Amino acid sequence: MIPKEAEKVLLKVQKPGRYVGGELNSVMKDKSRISLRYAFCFPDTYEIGMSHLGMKILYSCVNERDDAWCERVFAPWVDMEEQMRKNNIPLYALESGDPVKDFDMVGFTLQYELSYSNMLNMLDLAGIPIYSCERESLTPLVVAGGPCVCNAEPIADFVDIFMLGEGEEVTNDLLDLLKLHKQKGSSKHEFLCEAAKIPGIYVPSFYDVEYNDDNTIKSVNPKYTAPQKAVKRIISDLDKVYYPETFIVPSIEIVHDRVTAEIFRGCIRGCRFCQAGFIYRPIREKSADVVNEQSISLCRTTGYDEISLCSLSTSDYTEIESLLDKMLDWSVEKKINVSLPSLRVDNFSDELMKKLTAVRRSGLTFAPEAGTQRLRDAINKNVTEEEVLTTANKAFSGGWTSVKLYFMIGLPTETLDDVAGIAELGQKVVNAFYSHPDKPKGKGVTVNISASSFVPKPFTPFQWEAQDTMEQLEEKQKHLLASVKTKKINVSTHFTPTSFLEGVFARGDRRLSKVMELAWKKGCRFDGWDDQFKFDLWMQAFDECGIDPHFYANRKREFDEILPWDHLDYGVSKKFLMRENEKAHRSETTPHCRLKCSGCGANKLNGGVCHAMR
Amino acid sequence: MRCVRVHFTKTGRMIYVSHLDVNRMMTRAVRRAELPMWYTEGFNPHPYIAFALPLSLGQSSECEFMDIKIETDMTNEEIKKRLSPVMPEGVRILSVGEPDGNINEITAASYSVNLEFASHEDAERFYSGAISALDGDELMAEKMGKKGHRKVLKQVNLIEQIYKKSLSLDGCCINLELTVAAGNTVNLNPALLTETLEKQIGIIPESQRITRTGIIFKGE
Repeated sequence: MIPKEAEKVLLKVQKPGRYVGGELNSVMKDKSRISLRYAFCFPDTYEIGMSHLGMKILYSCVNERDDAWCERVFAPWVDMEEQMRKNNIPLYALESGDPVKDFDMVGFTLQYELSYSNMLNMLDLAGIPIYSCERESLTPLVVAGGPCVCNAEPIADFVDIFMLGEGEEVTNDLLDLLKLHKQKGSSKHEFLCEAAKIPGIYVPSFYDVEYNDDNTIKSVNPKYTAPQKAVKRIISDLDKVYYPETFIVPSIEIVHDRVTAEIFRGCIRGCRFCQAGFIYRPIREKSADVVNEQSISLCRTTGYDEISLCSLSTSDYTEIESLLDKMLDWSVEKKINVSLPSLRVDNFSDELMKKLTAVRRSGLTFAPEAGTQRLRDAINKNVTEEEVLTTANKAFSGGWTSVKLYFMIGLPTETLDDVAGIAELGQKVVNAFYSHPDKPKGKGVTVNISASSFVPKPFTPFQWEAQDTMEQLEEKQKHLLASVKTKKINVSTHFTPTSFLEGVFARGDRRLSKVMELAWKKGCRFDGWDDQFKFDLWMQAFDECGIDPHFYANRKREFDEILPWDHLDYGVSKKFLMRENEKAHRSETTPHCRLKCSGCGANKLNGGVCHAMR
Repeated sequence: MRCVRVHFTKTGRMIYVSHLDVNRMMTRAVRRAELPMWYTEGFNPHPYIAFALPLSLGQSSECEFMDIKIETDMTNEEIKKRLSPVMPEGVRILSVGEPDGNINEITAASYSVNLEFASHEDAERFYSGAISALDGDELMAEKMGKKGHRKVLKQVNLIEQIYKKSLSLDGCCINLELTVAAGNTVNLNPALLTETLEKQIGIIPESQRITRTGIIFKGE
């Protein structure tokens, strides 16, 4: 239901379909029979949030309960915000149209650091005080999850409870407890004391942080019922965990408008720059039969004509070929396209290529990540130039004429030679096309190089490294552009201030809350959108708070420094990360988990079992 | 292969979904309904679905239709039975039958326009202003048009594009029943008419609801 006041302004804003709900398969419930109302908030636009698999899973998972109703909330775009503020329309949930402040639990999924300001803005639009300590009653309880909460500290003052790790079980545990304490009439503190005992729950206000004179952390001290370390939750058996039989089908076009079939969680590769490769460990696969059944159901109930397999590295799925056989059995007849993102160049078989050409052809994207072998070894991207070229050749034989290559610049130990190496590798791919005997006739080749800026992240071997300054990154971007000698290669790079701010918040501490509040009050929101990003306002906010952002982004940490996220446990041990860091500086690689276990420690989360060693 | 015309309504929250998105939505709906769709031949086969007059964002309709092509001789009743339950809120399948007129031969469409004003006085003033404007020979408006590939502002006389009209006043509300030019060559969006009237009379209604009530083919 759309609130009456909102209905009056909908035709004054772009894409009003974002704000109306009522989509196919959205869940409506009878409020009078519900004891828990959960507002699941995605701090970005509807089109982005609705593309997110985690939200689809948790939305359906909570709505399986008879006693709870999970509804969706997205960040209104700036034009809608203006109308809402002007007409006193509070932030509302799409299903019921009820104000978010009337919900029992308000949960944010934090997928990227630059969405933090949107979280504050959404709380404020809802009429909920942004600081946790200003919310005295038990409800609405403000919770957050998602990959960013592995360093939740920059937003610790705003959120009552963080859920670490995979949410299917812990969300329900938390809702059960909330229901009990709501009935008992408990205080917020009484509730938090019990919640802090649940594995996977982190109550930030139960930890006191002390600082040294040099601004590093002196100690983090748990109090009340809080454990020394909050440990992330994982789902042990992906075949048995809840997965939706249907997805909401948005009426307006979204970013990933298709069925998403998850095939595994975690990653065996251990690329040292990749946070996802560490925080989602250990690897756990879903069986091909289960994936296939779920895909059939999803296609039937949504009417989508595309399925995308979802994981960190599709070709590492042990059952990939049998899964594709099963899926192509029915998808070809139904004219459904199966797309395989996140393919690696080193195990992209001829078989796989054949199966791919059986379905509709989209672009091919590979990620060598660095331009020279030395640097690829340092970041543990175990891919050789030969493998890149072999795969490119396979692609050209298969009829592809356009290849996209992903790289990063600003990686630790990188030199200008490594940057020039990106252009050289691109050139070799172009040359490979022209010397290919069965290249597609009468067509040229396009190599699109995307060079993003590296941001060091918590729980990676590079968590101690200094991020390149904006000036260094810009110099490298220029050097890359100057090294490209052909028009067959297009280069795109990232706006460096965005990467800098991301770097600050990725490894920031609790003192950044003030900066965030101030920047938001000055008008910062949608920082991930180049047309909305207001870097000067952010810098003013840092300045007025007397906080040096370079301290967080561009400073190298020593191994013995207490890091802001050291009291959170994501399975991988600090010792392992140190070993990996040292190997990076020696340009030594680490074999992937199926070749040899390198003792990361994440198997302790799964009762000592790691599927990579089966 | 057989061409089938599906008549449907577009109301409620669905009015905020654009024409292009309705097109996409219907492509998925026919898949959910598991209709034996005829697919276009070529590099990127897709089910054949053709729509009549695009409806502006925010307007509802009691008379939308789309033409689809199916492979087997499935009955119209069966098609309706399959499509109805898979439609999202705001779309109701009215009937399924043989095409009763060529999409390219649409000449006019009728609309019901409801305007609500802040006061009865405003409504009265707008009412008399609208009557004299619509009874005149000329009501000029600016409209984006095409000149080759370029988009240019054009002056159009709306009176020439209005075929039938009737106005009624009830308290703070005005109801305007219109039949106007529609189709590929000349097409009048009733929102342009109300906007032009608002500018000329100098009163803006509190709310405006536009519903398309009929589509008229050449010779009807």
